[in-house]
Amino acid sequence: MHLSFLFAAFAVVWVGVLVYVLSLSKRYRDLSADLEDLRAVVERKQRNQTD
Amino acid sequence: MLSPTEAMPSANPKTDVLAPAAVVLSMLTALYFVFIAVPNDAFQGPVQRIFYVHLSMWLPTFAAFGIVGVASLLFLWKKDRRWDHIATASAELGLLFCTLGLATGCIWAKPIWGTWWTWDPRLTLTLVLWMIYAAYLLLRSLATNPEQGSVLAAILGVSGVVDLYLVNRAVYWWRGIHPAVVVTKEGGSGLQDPMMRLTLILCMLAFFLLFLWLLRLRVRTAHLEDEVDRLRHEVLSAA
Amino acid sequence: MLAILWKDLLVELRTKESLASLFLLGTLLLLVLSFAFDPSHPLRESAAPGILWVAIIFSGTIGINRTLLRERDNDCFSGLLLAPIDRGTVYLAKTVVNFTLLSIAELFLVPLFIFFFNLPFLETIARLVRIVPLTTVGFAAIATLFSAVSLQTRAREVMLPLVMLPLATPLFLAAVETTAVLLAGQPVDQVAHWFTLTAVFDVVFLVVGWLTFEYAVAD
Repeated sequence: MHLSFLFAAFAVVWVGVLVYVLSLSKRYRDLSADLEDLRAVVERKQRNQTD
Repeated sequence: MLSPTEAMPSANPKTDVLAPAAVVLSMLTALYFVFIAVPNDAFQGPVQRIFYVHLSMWLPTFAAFGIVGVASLLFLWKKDRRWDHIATASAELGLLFCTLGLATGCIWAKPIWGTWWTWDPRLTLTLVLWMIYAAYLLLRSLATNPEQGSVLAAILGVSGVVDLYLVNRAVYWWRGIHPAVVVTKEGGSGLQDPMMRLTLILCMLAFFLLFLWLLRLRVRTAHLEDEVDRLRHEVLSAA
Repeated sequence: MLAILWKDLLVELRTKESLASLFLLGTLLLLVLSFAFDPSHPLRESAAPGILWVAIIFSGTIGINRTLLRERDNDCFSGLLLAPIDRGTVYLAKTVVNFTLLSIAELFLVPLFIFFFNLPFLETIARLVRIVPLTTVGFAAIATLFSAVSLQTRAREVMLPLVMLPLATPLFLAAVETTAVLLAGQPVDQVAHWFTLTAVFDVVFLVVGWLTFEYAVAD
């Protein structure tokens, strides 16, 4: 009886956590990519200066 | 000018493997207890099992709110951006767990109390808390400059924690005029059985570990964000 | 400190800008909220304390936003901050100004409320004078701090109520509950705990504001 409520409660929790983790990992990956790009830019500039 | 190690603070490979492993393991144990080991509640039936996960949301929520307050205070005092990262991360996770706690509470209340929502003091307090967190994150994102946003958010973070006790008293007195049976019912429900108590403890532990692990990841993302901002600024000002 | 006080109050009294809008908005809210309840229905009486406070809160929030916005529009604020005064003192002065403005507006709003709800005039005034100023102190304290905070954000007008009202929950619950009991003519000691709560709230937020205001206004 009322099993759908039990299911709904657990589904809400797991979907909520999952969506958060996915969005966090996406944010992390995007930031890492940005960081790589920026590093490359800085490095290129430094090389240009020393040349 | 730049050292590569600067960008990745506190990435300890050992903890990076151990932490998720511990979370998954404790979560599986908790799920086993919640769904298989623990007996059905005599009055509420299987729906009572929602309770384990519902109650488990509050420890992270209140811990998060406390962390936001302390970290905000330390940020205002020491001006160290790391405290600000902890505060943002904590507020975001607090809002997540608070939302999930409210949602599971409503889903439990519908079959048991026959209504999704009552103005029970705990619910009211939680909703106020939720509003404060949500405003905290909004304030940060709408500040005219991010540095100032951290400071403004910190003021709200400190005020929120200071206010917590007063809000708590107020909502209890507010409903106190019509004594709420539901409060005692909620607190005392089903905890006589030692198996149930064990299940609850395991479940709380599992979700608290999940919270700590997510907090760690979120703080690291904040560090990264800071580093990217700094580099971008450097590149732009050099250009 | 006295100089800031005088300057602000003088400007306000001369232009009557915030004050007029504050008062008109409060009246409008009293009117609109009265529409929500059938005048002949007993529900209206039990809703009266809530209506009074919603009118005060919302008109007050908007009115207080004005006082700091004006400083900003005229760029007075940076001048004020350059002056060799402690920021905490600036905060206290601003709070006193806001308290005065709110009180003046209430001086008009409360009689209007009594008039609309057909309550005994002097008796109601005597009852309400116990709680209204005490609540207004807390309201001014928290609104002054957070209007300085919301000033530095985009969407300023929205930020102030969003940030302030959840924090002010205890204050307004206390005000509504106490007003309900007082309007019913019941003894005051029945709501003594609410008075304590309001007083504690006032002190707590005056201290928090006094200590953190400098961070809110620093560039």
